[in-house]
Amino acid sequence: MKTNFYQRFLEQTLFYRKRSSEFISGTILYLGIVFFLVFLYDLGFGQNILEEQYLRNFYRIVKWFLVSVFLGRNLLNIFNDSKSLRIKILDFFILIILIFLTQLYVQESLFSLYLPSLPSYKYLVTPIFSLIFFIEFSRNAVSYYSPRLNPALILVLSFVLIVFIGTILLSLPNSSYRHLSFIDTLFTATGAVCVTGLTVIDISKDLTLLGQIIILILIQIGGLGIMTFASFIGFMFSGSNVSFQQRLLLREIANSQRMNDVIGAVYKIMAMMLTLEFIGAFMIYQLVPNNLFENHFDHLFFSIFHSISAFCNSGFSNFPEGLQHVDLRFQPLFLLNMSFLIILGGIGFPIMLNFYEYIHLQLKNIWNYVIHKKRFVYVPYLFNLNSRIILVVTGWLLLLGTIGVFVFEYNGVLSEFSLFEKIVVSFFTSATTRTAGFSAVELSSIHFPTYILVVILMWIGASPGSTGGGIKTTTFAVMVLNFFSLSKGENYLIVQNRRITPYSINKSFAIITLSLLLIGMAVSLISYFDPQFTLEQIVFESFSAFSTAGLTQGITKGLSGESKTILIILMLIGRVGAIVFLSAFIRNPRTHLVKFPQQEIQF
Amino acid sequence: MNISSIYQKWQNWIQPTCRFVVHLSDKILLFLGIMAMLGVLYDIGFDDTEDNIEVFKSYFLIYISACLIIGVVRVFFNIFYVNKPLRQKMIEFALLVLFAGGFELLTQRQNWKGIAFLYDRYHYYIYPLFFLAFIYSISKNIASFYSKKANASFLLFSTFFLLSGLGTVGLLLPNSTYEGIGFIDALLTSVSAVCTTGLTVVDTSGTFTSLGLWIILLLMQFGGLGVMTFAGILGRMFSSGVSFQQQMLLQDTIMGEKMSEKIDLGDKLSEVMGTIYKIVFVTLLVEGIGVFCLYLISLDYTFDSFGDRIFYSLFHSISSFCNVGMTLSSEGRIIETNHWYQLIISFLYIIGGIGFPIVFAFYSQIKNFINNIYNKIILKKHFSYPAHSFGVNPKLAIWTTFILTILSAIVIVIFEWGNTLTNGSIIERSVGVFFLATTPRGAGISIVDMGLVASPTALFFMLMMWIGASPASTGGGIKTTTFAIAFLNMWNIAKGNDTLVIFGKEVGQESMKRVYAVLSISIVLMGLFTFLVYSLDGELSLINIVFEVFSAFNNCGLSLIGTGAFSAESKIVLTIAMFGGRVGSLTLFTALLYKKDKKKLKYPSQEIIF
Repeated sequence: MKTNFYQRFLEQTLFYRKRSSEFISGTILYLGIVFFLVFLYDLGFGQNILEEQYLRNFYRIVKWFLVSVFLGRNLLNIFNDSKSLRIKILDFFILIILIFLTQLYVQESLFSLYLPSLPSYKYLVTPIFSLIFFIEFSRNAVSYYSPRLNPALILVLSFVLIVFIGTILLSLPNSSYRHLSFIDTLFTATGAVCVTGLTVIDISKDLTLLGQIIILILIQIGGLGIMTFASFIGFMFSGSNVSFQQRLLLREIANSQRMNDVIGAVYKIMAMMLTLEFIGAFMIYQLVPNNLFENHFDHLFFSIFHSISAFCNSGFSNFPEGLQHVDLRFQPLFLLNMSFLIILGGIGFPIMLNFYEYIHLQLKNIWNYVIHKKRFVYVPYLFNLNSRIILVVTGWLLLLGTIGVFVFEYNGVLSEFSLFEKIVVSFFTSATTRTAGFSAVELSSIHFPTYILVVILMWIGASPGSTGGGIKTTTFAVMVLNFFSLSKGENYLIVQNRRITPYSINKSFAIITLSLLLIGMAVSLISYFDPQFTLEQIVFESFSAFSTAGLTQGITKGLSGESKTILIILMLIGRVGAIVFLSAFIRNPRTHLVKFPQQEIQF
Repeated sequence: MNISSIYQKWQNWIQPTCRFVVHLSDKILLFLGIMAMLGVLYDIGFDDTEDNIEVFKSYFLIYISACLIIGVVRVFFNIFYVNKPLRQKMIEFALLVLFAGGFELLTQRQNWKGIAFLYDRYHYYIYPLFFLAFIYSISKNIASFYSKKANASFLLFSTFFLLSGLGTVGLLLPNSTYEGIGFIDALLTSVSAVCTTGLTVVDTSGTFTSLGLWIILLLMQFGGLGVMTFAGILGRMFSSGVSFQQQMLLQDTIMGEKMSEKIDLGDKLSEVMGTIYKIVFVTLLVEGIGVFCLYLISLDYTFDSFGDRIFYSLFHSISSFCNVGMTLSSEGRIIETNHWYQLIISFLYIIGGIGFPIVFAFYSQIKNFINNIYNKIILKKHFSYPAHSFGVNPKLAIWTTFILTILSAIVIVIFEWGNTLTNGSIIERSVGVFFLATTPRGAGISIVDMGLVASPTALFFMLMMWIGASPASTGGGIKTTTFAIAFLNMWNIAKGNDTLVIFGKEVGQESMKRVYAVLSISIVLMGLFTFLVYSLDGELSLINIVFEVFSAFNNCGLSLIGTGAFSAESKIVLTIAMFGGRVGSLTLFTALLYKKDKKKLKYPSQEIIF
């Protein structure tokens, strides 16, 4: 009887529950927008005491709003069976934090009586609010994806959106010490989001701490891929009510082979990334001497900045002169650490997942063997062909790059280093060209062989599904393998007993064609707008921008506005992927129900 | 023992003997021919003294006598040799008669009034004769290349190598130049002419005498024809899906066992020869028309003699049609100033660069049309329409050429209208745009100072040079079809389709892989050459070097600063680049053509992520 009553209650209130739930979501959404605008103002513009009071009151209002709204939502959650437990717990957790904040507020306002100069509430409360609103936005983000929308277009637009948000943030008066022109700000934001690392400003001198943090966030978002970022967070917090179409879309974005892995992969990617970045930051903190910095905070921020920048293959540095600074370039261990971060970031998430699976399996095997006395389980072909190609190509490129730089520059830019440092700097340079963009040596004075090597390495770039750019190692591998396969007279491209599908070959071909066309176009235009630079410098810059490497021969700052715009577009295309970019505008698959006769082409 | 069995026995004895004699005499004649040609070269190339003339006379007399003796024996055996086509027997007999005439001319036994005027100018008679005989004996010996399974790529390589070598020797002769020429310069000029590139290190008309210019002319003509024939034949084989070896094999099986040893390859290659005849015919026809038109236009200009005027037209006609791009422009400056002249030249190199199949298809359409009109008027017959003669390849080539020309014209109007093309009326400037839009894809004749063009134009020219002309043409580059496939594939992938369909035909995966390989290897090689030249000539700016390498490798012939500005080592590299670009692409193509997969397995497929 009781169950019956409960059921009837649920049925009768369904409409109202739905309405109020929608109302709550809507409220949070609008509140979030208002909050972010005010927060932006708060961060970006200098305040006086009066404004400070207003803002404090505003945050207080937001806090109470949020508390009440989440209270309501939790109440609704009790009666909602369709929501997963995970989400309910999350909602409850947020509520607890909010209530905790109210308590803190009270104490904080008491504190501020004694320490009025300390606006600590802002630094504690506003990030938490931002996070809550961000989660809320992401929840809704997934539902914005319509299967009819071109996924490539969504990807491109999302990058553009983030670039513009980044530009606005960097234009805030508090972000920079001096006024930056619009094009410079846009360039910097694009450089950060596209993890390129080309800059037209001096990050260490022109940007305030706020500006640098903004850059850091942009790098992190860009490195992971904005779509990955938003959708994965969206998935995490919106439960399993995601349509098949949306999953398909995500699969495309995540570059994952298996459908059901997509969401699992997200967690792993995020976890791996944060773990590695944390370890990296810790190591950098240990390896870089303390006396280079004014205080501990600078030291810590330097470590975090460089760890993220290296892992995301961005190449931004908040140190004057970057890694070329005389205090940094003679730190071989630090450079090694950076190299490994770059390589790990550039090797791609799929292969990291592959490693993860492998280690997981081995550990499980050992566990089972020791505890349960079970036999080892072998999973065939755990490292798939992609992983193998990536590993081999990456290894060879690193090795050849190191040897090349070492040999060509032994008496060149490397002459000031000791032998061990020479080797390390060569290795670092080899790693950073693909496509991180730090430079420990002055690239404008390298010899021509090194120049060619660096340009080729930049062009090849990192591995698919990674934070790096370029045409990708697999593309390059297919190009080389195709040539050798043809000269061996094979009908199919066979690698390690696997037949590479024609589609893969065609796609790799397409990527290479388009990359060359785009770079060529950019070089022509830049050489037209900036005839004062030599072709070497312009080619280097264009390859660097397209591959999102960020190495430069020092001409970026002197480029005209038109050239900067070209580089901005090139960076964006390079990050999104040239083919994806093109397909954002022309995607229109046609299925032929007939099979046409084959025709060989004469040439 | 009846007559038929005697006849049979006779046949069994005489046929192998004939074969032996003919083959042996082939070799001897080739050797003699080479010796004679060396003599001729020496005679032409060096200044004659009175003593020398007598020596040469006796030298040639010995050659002619030897040829006569061997020729008589050959002709005798030809009578019984059944496996030799009649046409060849006739040619050999005719040659024998001509040699007899030469013998008469040199010995001057009877003082015949009719040919007395030739006694002092005997070389006008015997040199062409020697040359003819030499060509004939080479063609006889080329056949043995095929039977010995030396593949077409080796033949191609050796042909071009020999031609370049001969050309170099010819240009080094003292009489070829006014003031002598260095070995490297001669080599570069020769290779440049043979490989239809057109890069020059010296002023062509100022350095070479008429002998030197004639040598260059011949080199250009042979180079152009060589490329067309090789590419045409190989292309035909490839597009028909039957490999060259397979064709040979097929004919072997039809003729019966061991037939290939017995018959001469002139027969076996009749199909191939048919194509070659067609190509030569079309080439000479177009060049003839070109000479006529250029001659008419140059009437306003002053030349030393009628011969000079004709030669000027001839040189430019051949140079344009073969997409070489060498000019005699310092004399009269017609090319830079007369827009009609430019127009004719650009049409010539466009026709040369569009490829033999298309030209021939047009030719047969026009022929058919004229035939139809003739039939209509005279015989009152109805028009007849042939089946469409344009396949996917010609269509693709025509469309790509058309679009690229329009695109180039737009780029040139944007960057050069106010830069290098400022002189003259609108029409003259428009012709200039058209000329510049078409010249980088193979021809390489420049009508403006290339050093002054805007850098985007230079870079765009590099792209166009790289794309080059159409298949089976005299032009270079990776070919329009290759580029079209690359571009369409890119577009197709971005659109989200799996297979590439063009004009209702699906592009085969083999083609795609091949196009990919050609494209990638060309870039790698050009990078390598650039790297080498830059290492050798570091003081030159990169754009000049890259442009030069692109021009050399893609057999275009444009140059920003002139090839003369490079060091000797770089010139060698550029020469190799020209040769590699010309021979390499075709060799690669044939090398890939012959190998066939013998694997019976089918492996599981794997997508690659990018």
